[in-house]
Amino acid sequence: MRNLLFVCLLLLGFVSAAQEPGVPKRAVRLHLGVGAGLETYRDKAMSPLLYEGIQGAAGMGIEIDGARVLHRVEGLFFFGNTSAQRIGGTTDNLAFLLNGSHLKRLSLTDARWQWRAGPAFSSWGSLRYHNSLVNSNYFYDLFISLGATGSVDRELRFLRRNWWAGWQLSVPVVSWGLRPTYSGLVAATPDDEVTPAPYLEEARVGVFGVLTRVHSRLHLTYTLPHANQLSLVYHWDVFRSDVGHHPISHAMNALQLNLSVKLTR
Amino acid sequence: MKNKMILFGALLALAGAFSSCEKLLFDADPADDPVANFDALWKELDEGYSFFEYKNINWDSVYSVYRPRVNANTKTLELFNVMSDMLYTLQDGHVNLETGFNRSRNWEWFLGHPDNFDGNLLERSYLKDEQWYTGPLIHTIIDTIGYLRYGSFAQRFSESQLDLVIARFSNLKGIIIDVRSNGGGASSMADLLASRFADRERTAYTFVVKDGPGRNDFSEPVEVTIKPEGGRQFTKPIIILTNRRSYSATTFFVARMAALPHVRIMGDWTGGGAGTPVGGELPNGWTVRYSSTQTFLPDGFNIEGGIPPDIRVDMSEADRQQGKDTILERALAELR
Repeated sequence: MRNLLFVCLLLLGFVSAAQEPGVPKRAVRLHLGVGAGLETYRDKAMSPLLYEGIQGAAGMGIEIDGARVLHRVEGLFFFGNTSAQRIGGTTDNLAFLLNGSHLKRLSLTDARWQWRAGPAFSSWGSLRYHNSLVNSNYFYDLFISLGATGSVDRELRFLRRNWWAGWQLSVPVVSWGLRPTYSGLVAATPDDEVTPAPYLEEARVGVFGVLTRVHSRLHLTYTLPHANQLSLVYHWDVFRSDVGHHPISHAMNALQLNLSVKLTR
Repeated sequence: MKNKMILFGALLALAGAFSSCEKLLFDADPADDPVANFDALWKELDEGYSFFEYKNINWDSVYSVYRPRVNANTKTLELFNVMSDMLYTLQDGHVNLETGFNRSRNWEWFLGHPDNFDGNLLERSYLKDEQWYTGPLIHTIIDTIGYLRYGSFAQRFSESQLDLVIARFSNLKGIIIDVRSNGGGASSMADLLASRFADRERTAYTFVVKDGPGRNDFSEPVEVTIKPEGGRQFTKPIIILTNRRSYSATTFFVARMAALPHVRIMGDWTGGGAGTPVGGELPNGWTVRYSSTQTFLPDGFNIEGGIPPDIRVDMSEADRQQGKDTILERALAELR
């Protein structure tokens, strides 16, 4: 029932975003990006040790920039290995980060400082395969959150070029979280193993306690001809969760080079 | 220009500050000394191992025996030996401490029992040049009886390979499935192999999974069935040959087959190993694996110690001298 309520809240968020009155002369941009990240975590379902490793990153997103509202949906995909900082095992990692925000301009009179705030949704999913363990060697976390976000952007004249610099901070409030079972095994027959049902029994919904997380997005953007953009984006995502039986602390520091193509005239 | 540089610098400083303040969300590193590692190992088993009650092991007493043998000055090799000795008390083939230089183990489940298997004798007297190798499945026909040898559940076969064997045996009077000295592997292979011999869906066994740190924190029992799958089933008489080295996934296979009315188990008890092992890592990076489930036959019998044969037969030295496999000869006689 709580899961259903959470899905309803999520849908309401989408609907409210879709119902924002249309703003004339809005720019729609498609982002494509590549980069790298440093992933650090202590997943106590897997090990008491701190694991760390460089991850490859690829990203894609869309931004609808109106006079009053900025919609931004951005997905990042990470892949790579991590190893224990002390002597220990190694893991193969896959992860994704999906962030969406509905940022409303707080003041239309100040053209230099663009302050925005609004609701946000975010999702983080990760799968880790530990190379030295058996049977319980897959570890995962999946979080879907609704929260709040705020941003500030400022135009700069720098090195004889026009730039935009900005910072967006997002904090989830209500989250749905899924983590491994106590022993890493599920009480299910082999036939059941092909369905997610036994794993979903571990899911929890909660406010803050399920997921304590901050996502920061810092960008420096250069405007190209025809209003296309090239930007350097620094993502900092850090969370801690007590969902399931074993807590996890996780941080991702990722640098991404984005090409943004303006789709509207 | 100055204000812009200040803003830009402030943003960069902010970015740099993030990576340092993220440490606030991380717990401190666990201590990495002999005592801390010993305690971590004991606690990992204390909260995760599934057979304390079944094996009547007082894990607290075990701690009081072995913990005094470790102190801050204990050398690495000494620590490994103390930990290995402690794990040995669990009498479990699925319990291992893995380091870069050695792996602890307990092989009591087959040591001290008759071998009841001689691969050379089998090759020389029965398989000869007639055997087919269909993936890891070795099969031949002895008179009117099909003989199938599967030496390791870690060696995977495909459904089509298995169906080929079943098709080859379809007109025979019976089949002998020899899983002696099969030390286990993937239980999915046990499920697949057994599915070709099921006449209808039947309950094979139930299992419980450790789902909390308490000694008796287990999930509700989960029922596992054996059911016919694939294009063709063999439902005429079948004898499965087992010995004490028939371990882990092999015990699961035998448990499945034991549910079928046309199947008999012959030879020695299987070695057991019916607790699915999981693993963990210690502060010094060593890994440990241990049983975290329990498995029961429909009558409630816990098969961690093995499954008894329907017909107990040991290989005799006299037969061996004559190039005969006592257990295989008995199975052939039963099926002819």
